[in-house]
Amino acid sequence: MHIPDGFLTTPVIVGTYAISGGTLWSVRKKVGEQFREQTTVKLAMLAAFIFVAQMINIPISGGTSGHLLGGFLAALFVGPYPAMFIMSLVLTVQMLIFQDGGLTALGANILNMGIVGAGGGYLIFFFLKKMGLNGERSPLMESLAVFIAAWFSVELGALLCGLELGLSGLAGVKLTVGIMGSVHAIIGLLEGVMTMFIYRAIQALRPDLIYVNSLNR
Amino acid sequence: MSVRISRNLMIVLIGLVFLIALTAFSSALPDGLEWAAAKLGFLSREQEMYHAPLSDYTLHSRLPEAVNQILSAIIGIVVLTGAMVGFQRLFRNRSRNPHER
Repeated sequence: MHIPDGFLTTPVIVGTYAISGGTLWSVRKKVGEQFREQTTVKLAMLAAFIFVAQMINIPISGGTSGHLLGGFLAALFVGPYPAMFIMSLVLTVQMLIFQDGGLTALGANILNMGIVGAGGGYLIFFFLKKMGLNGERSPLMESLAVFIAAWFSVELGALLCGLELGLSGLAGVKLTVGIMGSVHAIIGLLEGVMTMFIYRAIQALRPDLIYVNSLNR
Repeated sequence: MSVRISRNLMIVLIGLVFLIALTAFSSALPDGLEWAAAKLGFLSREQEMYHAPLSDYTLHSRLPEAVNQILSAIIGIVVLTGAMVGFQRLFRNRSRNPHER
């Protein structure tokens, strides 16, 4: 879902840079708190994992491929704000070194995959928890919440990406939002399954590494 | 700072090596956005405004793609690990409370 250079018009570029920059700036203190608390190994491993996982494209029906985005996964481990920051770093490295995503589109890519990917998925997860899909009831219910939230983290980012493309006049807004939403409704299933399995595995091996566990106490 | 390599960290490191190896088998099919752009006919609008040193995860065009992918994965990990260590130091140094260190 990395938007390249040339797709977005100036107002969309400026707008998305402003929203992403503003959001990251406003959460800097919360990011700092978590960064001081977390171990270096965990933070480094998380960023490394997300970067490598994003390189592994898996074929999906209809001649497309998808990969884990990892924003919501990161939020489960370090909380939503540090997750946004880590995703922004990964996206910046991808753009600066590997030309994955454009320089002018970095603001939009951070917004779609970093801020909405991490924060949106996290909000949905909490909403589902409040609705009763939580670990106190059963691990299965919690897994379902993780799956749904991970799916939404991709879908919301894709819809927003579609909106940015439409506002840039590449095609009608309805068309761009519709096509991005529908293709990522399928790609999002991959995010759901992978996030759920990783979450369950770490929950079994090292539950202390999971940020959301610390909130229940 | 001493890094104690626990059994779990070992598992994570082995997992990471496994994932790096998997990048060699990454699918070349278009991703969701490229697919949509081709379908709606604006894929050609893409233009380069900045040239990255290892564009498209390629160190050298004469190397096999699998090798390029694996080397890119390693470089990315090294850079990001450095960035995380650096940012953590930065945040810790800014901390007003020395007990938090």
